[in-house]
Amino acid sequence: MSEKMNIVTVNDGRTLYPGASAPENREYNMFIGPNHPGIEGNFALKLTLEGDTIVQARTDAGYLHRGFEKLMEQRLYMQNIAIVPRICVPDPDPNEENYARAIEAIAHIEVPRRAQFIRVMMLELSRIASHLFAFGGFAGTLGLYTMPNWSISDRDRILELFEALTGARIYHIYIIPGGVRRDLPEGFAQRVKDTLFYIESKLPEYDNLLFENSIIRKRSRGIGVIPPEKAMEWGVTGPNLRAAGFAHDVRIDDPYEVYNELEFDIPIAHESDALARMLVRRKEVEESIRIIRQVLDKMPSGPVWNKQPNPLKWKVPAGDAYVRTESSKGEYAYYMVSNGDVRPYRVHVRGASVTHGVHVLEKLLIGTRIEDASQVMFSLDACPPEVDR
Amino acid sequence: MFNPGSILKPLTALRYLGEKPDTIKVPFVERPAADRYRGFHINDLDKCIGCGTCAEICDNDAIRMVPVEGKEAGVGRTQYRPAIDYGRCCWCALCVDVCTTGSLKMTREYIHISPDANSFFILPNEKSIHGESAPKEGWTADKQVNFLDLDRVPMKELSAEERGDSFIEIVKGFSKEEAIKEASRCVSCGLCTAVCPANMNIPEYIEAIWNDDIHEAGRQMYKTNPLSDVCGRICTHKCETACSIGNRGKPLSIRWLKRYAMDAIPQEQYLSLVDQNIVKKGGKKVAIVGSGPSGLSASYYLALMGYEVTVFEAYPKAGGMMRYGIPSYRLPDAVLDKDIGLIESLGVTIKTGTRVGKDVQFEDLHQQFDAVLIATGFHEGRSTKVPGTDHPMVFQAIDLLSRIRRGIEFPVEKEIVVIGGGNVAMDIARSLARLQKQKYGEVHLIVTSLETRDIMPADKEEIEEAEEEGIVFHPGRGPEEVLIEDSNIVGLKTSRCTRVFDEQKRFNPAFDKNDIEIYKGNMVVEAIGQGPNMSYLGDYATKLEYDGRRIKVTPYYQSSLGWLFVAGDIIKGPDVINGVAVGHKAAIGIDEYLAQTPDDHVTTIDDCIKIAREYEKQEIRQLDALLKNKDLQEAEFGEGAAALGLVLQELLDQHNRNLAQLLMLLGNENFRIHLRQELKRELRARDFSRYANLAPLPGTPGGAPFSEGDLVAFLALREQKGFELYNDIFYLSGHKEFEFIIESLREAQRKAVEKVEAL
Repeated sequence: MSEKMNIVTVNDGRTLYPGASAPENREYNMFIGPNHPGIEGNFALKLTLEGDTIVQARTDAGYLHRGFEKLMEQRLYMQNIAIVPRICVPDPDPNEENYARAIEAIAHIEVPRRAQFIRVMMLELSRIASHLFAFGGFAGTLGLYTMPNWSISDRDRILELFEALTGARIYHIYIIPGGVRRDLPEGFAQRVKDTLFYIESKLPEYDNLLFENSIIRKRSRGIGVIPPEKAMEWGVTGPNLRAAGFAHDVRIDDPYEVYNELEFDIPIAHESDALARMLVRRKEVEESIRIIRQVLDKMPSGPVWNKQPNPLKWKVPAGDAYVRTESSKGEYAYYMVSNGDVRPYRVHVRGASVTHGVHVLEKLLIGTRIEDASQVMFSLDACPPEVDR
Repeated sequence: MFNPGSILKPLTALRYLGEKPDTIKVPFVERPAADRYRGFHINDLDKCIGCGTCAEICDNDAIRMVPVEGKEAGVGRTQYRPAIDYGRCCWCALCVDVCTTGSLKMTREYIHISPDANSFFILPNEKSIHGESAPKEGWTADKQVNFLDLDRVPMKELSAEERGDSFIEIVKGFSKEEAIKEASRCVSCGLCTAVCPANMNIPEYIEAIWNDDIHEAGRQMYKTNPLSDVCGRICTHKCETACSIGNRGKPLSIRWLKRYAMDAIPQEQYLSLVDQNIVKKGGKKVAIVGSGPSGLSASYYLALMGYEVTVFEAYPKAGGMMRYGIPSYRLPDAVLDKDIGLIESLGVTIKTGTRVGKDVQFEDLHQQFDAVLIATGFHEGRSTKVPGTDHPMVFQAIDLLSRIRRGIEFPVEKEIVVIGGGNVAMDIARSLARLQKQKYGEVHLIVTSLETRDIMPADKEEIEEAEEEGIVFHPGRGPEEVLIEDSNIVGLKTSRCTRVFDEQKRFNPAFDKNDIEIYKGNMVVEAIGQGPNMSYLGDYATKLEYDGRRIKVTPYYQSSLGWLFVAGDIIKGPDVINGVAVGHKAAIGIDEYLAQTPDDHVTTIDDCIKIAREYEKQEIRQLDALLKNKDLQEAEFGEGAAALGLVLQELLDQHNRNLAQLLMLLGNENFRIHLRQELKRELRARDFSRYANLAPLPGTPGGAPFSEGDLVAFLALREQKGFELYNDIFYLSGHKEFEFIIESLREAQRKAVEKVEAL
């Protein structure tokens, strides 16, 4: 039959299926997302495949651009505290922390000790919440939907703590230049301790279900390997870098707030594959719990805010500052320039997700099989709203 | 670290099968929100003052200030209240944290679902968005973390020991850093401007001080107050009672900020602060009797408007009560001289030492000048008229204050009693205390007043400072008799005052004659008020119409005689800032009166706007007639005519909008006051009447027969004229506010012309 048949192209040079037009070309294109359970947010992957193997990958962050950096130039310093947490929804507090610390660095503002402890507690709670989210997402890509049910429901307990402390579950708008916006409510420390105890008790269950599940391990072992010798060159940070064997952590390398007074370990792994990265995150939850317990024990009494001028008439002196925070996604930094006006002249957000979610992912996906694409993507734990901010 | 894994391990999750789920609750159980949840807004509408700070801080323009019926504007409050658009709100609660009264709060409600889009735009009151009368409060203002600066920058003053025996100024003034810090407390709500008698641009100059642009601050002040230096020292600062920050903390030191800015500007630069166009002299002459606040203020504005102004002052130096009624520890002469120097540099002649009625007759003023303004103030002290007040050692406070300032000697006794509880009483008591200290080294001075301490009309700080200086107060006592022995005063007999005002709130004191106290003293000073002396008016006094005891005047202070205007304390007191405001308004009245003379090229800005209004009205009338024109309606079925009809309708709408804008301008008195003096009154001021009478459009009654070509050409010509009209008004006024309106009007006109031409 095939000998007699010829393909006749009726519309010369125009075909709906470019991959089909050239019989000698064995590659074809495929999109994953933005509407797909194996995709983070409204991200999309534009893949070129040969058989089941990806030969080229392009990422598309979707219609997410809200122009935060530009918006910040048009708003008063205090108004911007309502904008910054929106840059990374699952882990908003490093944004608030960076924004506040950048101003504090430029204007030489001291932060009360108690506020510093509260900030560390916020950052670590946010890290746990973000990691729990990542566990759920990662397991979801492998069809293990029990895990997201558990971890997101457990994350909600942390959101409840946020609500009690800051008045909102997601957009806390709580860490402000000079300190934090409110002191702890009554009985809050005990609530945090109870929640931590609960989460700690759930961790072995997570291990049984996900991290020590041989199917999951088989599926995620050895995929999406970031070559350790390339990790630095590619600008990998955070848990992704630590999974490649580097003990880099901003909390240790460039301590901020009161991290240098606290005891905690930096979990590292050497495999540098998808599983290693998730295991590092899983261990980090334990360390975060350890940090928060110390914070609650050591937290001094005192004021929580160093009074700043009337927000409508507040000029930050001219100058610039680069501040960085270890977020759940990696190294998170703000570069702020002030020209002495009431609004920042420029705020640049250096998020970890552009590196991980776009540049590293596009490299890692080459040679990966299509069924592993989602896992590789989730194991990097990028945050789409922060990619296209 | 982790076990290598097993295929059975995940099966342990099966034991959770029977667990009650965490998330889904059936039946639905309401989950209470956290105590400080940032839900929907509630607002105590009575507590809220409508300052608009919430709208100012809002990140997303979600808050709009809307007028609320039943809420009246008053001292320190407006009729506006915040309305919130939940399509924009991001629940950051910055509005709650900057609320100047603490009235705005958030509830603990999680959700609002409604198919009605309007229900997401609410005017929060004490009820929740869902109509609950007492919703649970969530996020509220916090004492510890308070975004507003509630504490004043303290003002440095001389201590009681340092100042007790000298007339050196007490208040030291702000340094630059202190002033900028104090200015940064301002939220620019403008409640101060509304309550200031002169409507000074207070938020604007505070902002300029905060920006360290002293010159701009001075420029803003001089727009409405040529005595800013004086007011920076002794203004009664009604603005500070209205200040929104005062609701939760201490109001801004607006007066001291003004003083700082004016002190920082060297006098040589004062002339450059006057940003109004100084008009060439037009030959009209105005006489002003009295060089007090209102007389000087009127002379300043009249000079700017191009009048030749002569001020007559009976005392050897200009300044009136500012110089001869206020002790120099509150207002040093040098400060007053700075302000007067500027007014003189504008070409105002001040004839000092010339008493009208004695050195020059009032009749002559009427003959020699086109208009006369009397602003002679209250210089006659009132007496209690109790027995013994005719004794030579019983003095009037106002006389003594003037004598001290003129350097005329008078006996200062060892023990003195002052009668009165107002600021004049404080002034004379503190002045005499200084003289006593200089002469005897100690103070023996008693102040008695009808009013008890809580209702004494004097400023609180004045009373406190007087006490620090050793003055003893006996408030709530009425004088009965000045006790005299061997023709020397030995004391003052007083009885307890049971009430000062009666139920109708009229001054009607009552005394308890059984409760008698005698205060020792060799000298008694009465400081219970002052009155006018207008004997210089002569026969004119009988020709004037009166309203009670005051001369009857129009809102622009014109008397029934037309050429005679009245200003200052004799018409509306009682302080410098009121004097400035009255003087300014009287100057406008005089300008209006003199501008009516036909052979004058002077055109007021009101006239310009009125002509523009006439122009718009005429356009509307004619376009309307044209649209109803039969020919056109018939032609509507023809090609192109329907499109023309649309363009005409659009033009008509535009003119209607312009008219509404202009009417709004005409109705805004503040705008007019601020604008009026800005008009250039030179000969090149164009003749606006040519715009007022436009030839009728073709197709309208009186116009040429309708033809499309003619109409288009005619419309283009008309729009060109409109463009010129607005261009002229803009050229003549050059006012920022006005420029903005004219610019948009001009743009609209230009577009219309283009459209018609395109047809």
